[in-house]
Amino acid sequence: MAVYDTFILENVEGFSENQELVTVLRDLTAGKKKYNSAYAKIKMSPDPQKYPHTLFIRQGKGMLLKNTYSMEILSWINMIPAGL
Amino acid sequence: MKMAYKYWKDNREYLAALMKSGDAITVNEEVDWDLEMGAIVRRVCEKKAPAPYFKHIKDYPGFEAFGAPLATHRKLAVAFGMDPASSIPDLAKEYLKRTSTPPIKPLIVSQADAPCQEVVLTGDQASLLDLPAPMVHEGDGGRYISTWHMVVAKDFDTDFVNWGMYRQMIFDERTMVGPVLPFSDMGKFFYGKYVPRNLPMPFATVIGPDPLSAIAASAPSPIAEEEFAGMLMGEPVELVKCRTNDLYVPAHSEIIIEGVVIPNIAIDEGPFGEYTGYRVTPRDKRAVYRVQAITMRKKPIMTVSVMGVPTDEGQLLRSFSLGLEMDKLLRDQGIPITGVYMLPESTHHLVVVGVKPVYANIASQVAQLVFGSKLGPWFHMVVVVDDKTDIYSKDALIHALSTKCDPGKGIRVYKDSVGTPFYPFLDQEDRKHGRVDKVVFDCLLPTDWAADQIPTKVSFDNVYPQDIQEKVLAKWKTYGFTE
Repeated sequence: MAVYDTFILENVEGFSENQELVTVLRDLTAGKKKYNSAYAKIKMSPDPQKYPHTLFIRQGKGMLLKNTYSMEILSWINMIPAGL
Repeated sequence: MKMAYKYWKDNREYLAALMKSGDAITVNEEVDWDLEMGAIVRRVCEKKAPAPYFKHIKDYPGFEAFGAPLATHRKLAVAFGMDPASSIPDLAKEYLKRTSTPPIKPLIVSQADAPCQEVVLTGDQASLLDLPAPMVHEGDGGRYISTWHMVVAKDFDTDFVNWGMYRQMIFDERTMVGPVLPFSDMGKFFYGKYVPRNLPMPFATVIGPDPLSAIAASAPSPIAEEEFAGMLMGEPVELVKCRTNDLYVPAHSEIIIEGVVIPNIAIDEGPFGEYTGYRVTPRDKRAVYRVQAITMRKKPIMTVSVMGVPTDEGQLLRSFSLGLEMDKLLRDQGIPITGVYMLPESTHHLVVVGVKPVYANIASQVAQLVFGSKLGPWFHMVVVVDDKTDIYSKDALIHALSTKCDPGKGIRVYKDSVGTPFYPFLDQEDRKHGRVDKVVFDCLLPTDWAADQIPTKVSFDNVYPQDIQEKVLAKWKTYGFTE
């Protein structure tokens, strides 16, 4: 039951219910780790109650959308090669 | 032997000098790194207020912060060790004097003598989240740790070292992301040499360098910045070798982040409130910096610049040095200029060049030289005025532009030039390719007009006899005027 936000450059109104996508999640938990980011594969819904986590969406230039979404994290994705 | 100029070896000495001159204040109230600090510094820039020295940062005991360190000409004067009330022309003269000497090689000091390595964190201990990086503006893509700093990198197969101000956003505890423009020095190293070989490029981010090293890093000089800093100081800048790579950083800096830029991988960065005063470039995949070590002074002071509408230090210093490097370029080419001034309020997009109009079409020659130079991508408007016009006066600039620039003959556009993606007016395609149109405003009257064709400038110092001027000036206060 955590709160995240993400940046989505496409029009989210065109997304299907239960849309799956790979995106960057920012953890919004207060404290030193706030805004810590990671790539993840998620399933999201415009119904704020459907999935366990809350998701806010920002557009490419930072504008926060009014609607609150919910999401499930399907997997975390590491973009950095091993050893670096 | 050459004497060193008066200068400050580190930010702490500089901060003390700003306090003494009334150009800094201490903030004892705890401030939140999450937007509050950014909002304070932004307002400081917009009001040209003293630099805030933050003693207490939420979540980060043991750290302090220093905002808007060089956002006014008064602070620039203090950085040069000059009278804070020095005029812009006096500052320009000082910069040109110091930077017209031979380059001065840096002095290498031992790691034991380097304050920036009083604390050394490597491996899992080196976490970016343990540094009080601000969330600068609401809507930014992340916490920007590098806002008043420099990134040190070295060419792959030469000894050429670059110090540059490349913005860096924290992605996670060991990763930063940021744009590296292909035409920048570091861009040429990375995309031209490391990426084709699929090799990581070592880097060192220097947060809180001394003010003259910061000025060197922001100046678009062809001289290596580590030698340029020495020229500004009048003696070698002291450098120390990094702990995990072969790069050297100013020894008296506050915080150093060491690591590698990873080739052939890009991750999401931005958006960010940029130097033009707008959030322009959208979130996109950009260069990835992986952290290997963090070193710092005890009780380190994070430097924080908050870009936005004028005037922040990026706009002020970039305009200052860009204009003066252009001055050198044009004089080196034998162009009869009288001076160059780039307005900070133009976010270093508009430069005024004063010339002696001794032959026709000098304005075009000036424009072609400066647009075609290495300095060119950073600005797109040149206004050329005659030697009677005060290049530092906005009133004189507007008057010249409005009265001497023939819209049909005096405005010349140069299509499809190299530019940055940050210009707010670019469409998406031009932004993607860094393609910008540029323009010169020729405010010089034609050189072939007969004397009786030339309009007479109606001003106090031009239409009254010398004896009348002297009499009026001598009796000015007697008439009852105070100034």
